[in-house]
Amino acid sequence: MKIKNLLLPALSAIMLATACKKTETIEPPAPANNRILSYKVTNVPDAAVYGAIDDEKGTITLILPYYYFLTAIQPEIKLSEGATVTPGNGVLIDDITKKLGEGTQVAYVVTGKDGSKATYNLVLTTQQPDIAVDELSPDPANPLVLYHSDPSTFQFNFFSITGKNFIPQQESLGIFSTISYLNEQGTVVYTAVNGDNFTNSIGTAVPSAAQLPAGLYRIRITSYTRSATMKNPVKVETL
Amino acid sequence: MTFFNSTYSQVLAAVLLACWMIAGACSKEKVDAPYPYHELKTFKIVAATGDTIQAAIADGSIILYWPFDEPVPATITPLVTVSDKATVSPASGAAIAIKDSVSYVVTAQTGATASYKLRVIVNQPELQINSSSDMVGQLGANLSIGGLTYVIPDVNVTSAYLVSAKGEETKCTINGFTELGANDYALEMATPDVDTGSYKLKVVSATKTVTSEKAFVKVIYPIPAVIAPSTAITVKRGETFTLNGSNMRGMLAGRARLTGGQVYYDLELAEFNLTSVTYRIPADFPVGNYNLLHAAFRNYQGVTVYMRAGTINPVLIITE
Repeated sequence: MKIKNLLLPALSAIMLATACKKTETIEPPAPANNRILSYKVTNVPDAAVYGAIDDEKGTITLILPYYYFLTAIQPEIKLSEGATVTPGNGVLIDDITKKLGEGTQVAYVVTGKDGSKATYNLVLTTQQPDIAVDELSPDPANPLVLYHSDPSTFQFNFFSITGKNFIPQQESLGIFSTISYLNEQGTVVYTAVNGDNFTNSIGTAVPSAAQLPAGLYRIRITSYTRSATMKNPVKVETL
Repeated sequence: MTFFNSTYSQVLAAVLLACWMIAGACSKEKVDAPYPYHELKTFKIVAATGDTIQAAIADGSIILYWPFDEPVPATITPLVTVSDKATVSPASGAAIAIKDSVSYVVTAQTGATASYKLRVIVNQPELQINSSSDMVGQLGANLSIGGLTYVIPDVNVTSAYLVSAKGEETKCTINGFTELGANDYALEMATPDVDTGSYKLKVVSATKTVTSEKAFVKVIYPIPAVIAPSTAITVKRGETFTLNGSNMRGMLAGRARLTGGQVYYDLELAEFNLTSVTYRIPADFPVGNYNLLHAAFRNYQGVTVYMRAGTINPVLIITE
């Protein structure tokens, strides 16, 4: 009888114990399934170049070594399991020189296996050193005078712009330094494409009167992805 | 045993049952499962220029691309973000030494960890030295070493060394850089005071180092020079005459040509020292007036080099 007497309270005790353990466990939220996990550019001479991915900002920041002068990139993209991306993995992104110059972004749209979408903008940069230009007119009150070239008489008035970190032309890649003339409002009136330059000097001819009316202009040099503008103007006129 | 009589058991069971029902009613307690995520999501630093550099994170590495025109600082203060409820060590905002051995450890709430190793890649083009042409520097004179590409033309970040065949390095004092062609630089310096001979060139520019393939830098003695005689030298066959000059090393037989003639006649080398060379007129030397007189030396390449001694006509008169 003793065992029988014990059985009833024991059973109740067990029931009570299990009742107290019946708590609800909340599982952690599943990770987003529409992510770009890694972005790796493989068409480079040495080690692959990886992009820095920021899920919150929706960016892939890619630092392309400027001295590769890449005109196209071929990425290897790793995605969340089951996700797809457009443009697709391995699809060439071309016109890199232009995109670098204009700051154009390429958008990657990732679709997760649950159909959710995420957009990543490809931000292209180089770590090209900043360029510097020496003033042609050290005294703003006394601007250097440049005389118009006159193509009709084959008279080209050449002058040199010195500075540092200019990128020498890469003709086969379509990379040339440009010389822009900005009026007093800061508007570019004329841009000359330079065919030949060193890292510390660029030679160019004064534009013709048809290309650039007489006046005061500040000169801006653009070399690959960097620009620098002189503080003081030069005076362009016809001799 | 009175303690375990049946009546008591029944009461106890009833009490416990009541408790179970009450407890059952309040058991909807929620418990968060610990998060298992331990991902390093972003890693950013602000460079001295104010630019933010975001590192790429891939395959357990934190790849920090550094611009070569900015010196890599000793320490950086990265801002890092990690998965929800994970912790990271070193913490975000903690200063760390820039070294490839630095690791970040992310610990999930579950205690699981992931380690990320810092890798700094300085984006600088590889230096190149074209050592196909000899660059010759005379002791005591200036030396210009061309054929360098992607060198940074700044003495604060670029240095050069002559490397002997034994591997001994002598630091050069660079006075400047000349851009010979687009991105093709020459180093300008006084010829380092080393033994004459052939040297390789080692160049260090910011983070890159290159040593030339060939020992193309030739350090040589100053080239001999002859002082032009102001009056004609008149000598008989078998006699000697002396030309003064400087740096007269490796002197060789001289020669002379008759005024209006086409043939050179060799002069025997009698003796020389640093400041003079003495030639003897051979017995079969033609008699007459000579308007071309050459002293000669062997250069560093083993080639005989003739130096004209004076432009007066005649410069040498041979008599019977």
